[in-house]
Amino acid sequence: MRGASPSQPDTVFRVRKELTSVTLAIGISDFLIYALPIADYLADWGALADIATGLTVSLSFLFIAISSGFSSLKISQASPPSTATDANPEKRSPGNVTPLTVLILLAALGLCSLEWYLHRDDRNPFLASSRPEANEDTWLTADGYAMLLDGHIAQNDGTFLLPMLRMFTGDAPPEPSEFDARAGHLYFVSFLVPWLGTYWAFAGTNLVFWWLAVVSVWWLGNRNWSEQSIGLIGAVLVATSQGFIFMGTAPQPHAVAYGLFGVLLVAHDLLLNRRLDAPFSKAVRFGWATGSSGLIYFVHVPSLIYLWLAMPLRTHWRVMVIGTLTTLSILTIWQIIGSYLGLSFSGGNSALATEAVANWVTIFRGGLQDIAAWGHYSRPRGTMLGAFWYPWWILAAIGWWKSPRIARNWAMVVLIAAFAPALLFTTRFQLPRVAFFAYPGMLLLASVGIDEIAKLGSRIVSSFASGTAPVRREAYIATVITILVALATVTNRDLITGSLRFAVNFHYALGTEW
Amino acid sequence: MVTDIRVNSPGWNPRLIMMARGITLAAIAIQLIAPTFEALVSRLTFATIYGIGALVIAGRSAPFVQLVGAITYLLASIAMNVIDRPVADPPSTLWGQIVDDTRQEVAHRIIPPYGTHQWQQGWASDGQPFIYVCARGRLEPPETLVLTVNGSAISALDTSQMFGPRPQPESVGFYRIPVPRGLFTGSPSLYVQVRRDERATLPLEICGTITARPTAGFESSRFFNGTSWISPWTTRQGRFQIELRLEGPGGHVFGAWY
Repeated sequence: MRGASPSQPDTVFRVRKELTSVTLAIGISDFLIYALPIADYLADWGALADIATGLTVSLSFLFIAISSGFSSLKISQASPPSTATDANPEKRSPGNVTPLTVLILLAALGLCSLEWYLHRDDRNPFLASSRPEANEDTWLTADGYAMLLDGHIAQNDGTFLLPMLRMFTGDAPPEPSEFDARAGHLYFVSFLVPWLGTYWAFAGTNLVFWWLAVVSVWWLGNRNWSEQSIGLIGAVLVATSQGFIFMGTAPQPHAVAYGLFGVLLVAHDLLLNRRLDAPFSKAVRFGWATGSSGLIYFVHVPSLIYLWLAMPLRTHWRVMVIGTLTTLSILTIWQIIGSYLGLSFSGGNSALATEAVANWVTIFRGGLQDIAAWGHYSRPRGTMLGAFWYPWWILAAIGWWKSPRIARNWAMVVLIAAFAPALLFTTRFQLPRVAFFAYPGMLLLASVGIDEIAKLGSRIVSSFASGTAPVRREAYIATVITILVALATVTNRDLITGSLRFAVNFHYALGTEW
Repeated sequence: MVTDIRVNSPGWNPRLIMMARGITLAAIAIQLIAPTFEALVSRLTFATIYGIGALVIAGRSAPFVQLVGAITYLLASIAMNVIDRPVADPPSTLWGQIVDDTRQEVAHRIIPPYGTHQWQQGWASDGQPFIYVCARGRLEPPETLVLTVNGSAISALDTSQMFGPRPQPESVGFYRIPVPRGLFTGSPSLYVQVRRDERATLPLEICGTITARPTAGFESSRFFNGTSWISPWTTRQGRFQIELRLEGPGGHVFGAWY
């Protein structure tokens, strides 16, 4: 296994620290439950378990992040550059590609194109989950929160993006909106409008970045695990994932941002996770990539968290500072120029994030009782499960257990980078769509889980059959395909049965139901 | 066959890189032929951030990918200036139709989806059908609207039927009116009419919105202005907000149609 030699130097994460963090989190969560005031919502065990799970998961990630910070400070050697994720960069696989790999990768790209096409118009889950039969916003009309874009029914937030799009196409002067900070998305869309019209320009941009996510996850899988199957399974999981299906044809920047997060992880690996010659130039380049991605939607937040957690702080703090300052500079430059053009950069997610922070202050002022009640009112468990349903968590847990330490550490940093902002935001809104930024780590860990189950399946089958290599290989492939089809059936349940359950979960987060 | 996909391949091709850089600069120059000053400034800003940024970030990596990316960027920039396809205004998602005369009437035809799983599940679960009518403000007899379905008078709208949030008293919102299940036996469609109460003295407003999935065609909504019928589909690409819902206990919605 690449990078898993016993003579590795210190790492930012250690298994025992993670297990200690989880154990501590369970203990504190149980204690916090007793701090809760008597309330109706505590009347059943399901609600209690919901609070306990939400608190445990949140505290676990918090403690792991804190312990990583302390460990990171202790690592003092300058080489190798990133002990967190790259103990032995020279021995890594160059990433060889066989015709079969290309074929599977093309199939994965074809698969996301198919998902994208099947979930167009009124079957887009973002839109469908706002219809009355989703039983959330029942006061809306039968079409849900909808607009007509070039004759196609689409999610209605797209209305607010059109003035910015017209600014780029030159059809109209700028109009301030709460989406001014996301102008980069409309810059990309404006290129496709002349070819495809407005609806398909939005959808087409999403598809391009969905493809990039597929390729990025495949690349990251090859980079962090020695088995080529991990990257390929991960690519298929991205192609059929809830987040991309949900956002695929919505006139919104989320799918583009998801795709860019995968690309940023690749960029980090290529620029900063190797022997660092000209480190500051590379830090500027990574900061530039992060800042320009942040002009799409929110992706700079998980990317910067990743930047600060993925490398040892003591030896790389200058790189982190320069990368962060470059990111902020890019974001600020557009804010200055946009303001000059008459945009306002007020409201929207920035205002909501401020409200979320203010709510946290109120919670901490309220003491243990309010902190424990956060586990109920802010639905942390529901937010995480909305982004990835139980089977993905189970597979990822298997994958985490079976992965080599370096890969496990890398995936854990990705999870923390994505889940931290999602959990922090829960005091204002529960947004599984933010937690879905964890997809590169989560789906690659799940790939390892699938790989392990398939290996077990092939061993079982070979014990009944001849036990030859071809039989084991066929059993392995059959098991992988069976699991992938089962998971794709879950994410495509809206098409198969008409049920909007998973779309609703992704849109609004689960409540206390299990 | 084995292909080396290392992005930082030692065999980088300076000629390809230089071509990619030249094409990218050409693409940016073409983008600057903008119809307005604001378009020019915004395009220049993002061309610098993304176009120049991509070159800076990529450095000497992946020359072929850089070249393909640059050519795509150039073609897209040319199309942006050559193909004239403005971003059209979407039709309004909320508009109103004033009814200020007893001769006026809003009509909407709905074909319940009897054969669908959604309908059958709701019907078999003793689902209760409701007609939803959206109107402005708090309606109370006599200043209200009267609902008729397939010629049978159902109800005059009143405040007890108000459904959904109304931030202000004059806000628009749905009125939720139960209709007997018997209306659906032997009736292939529902013909819903909304008129002003004969005693009303004030003008009343019925909401309209976009239409995308009408059960009885895009012309299923109509307004009689006292002399002739007008289709909101023709005038606004829209319909009146008159819907059928099948609901279970606790308000669980099995489906909503119009």
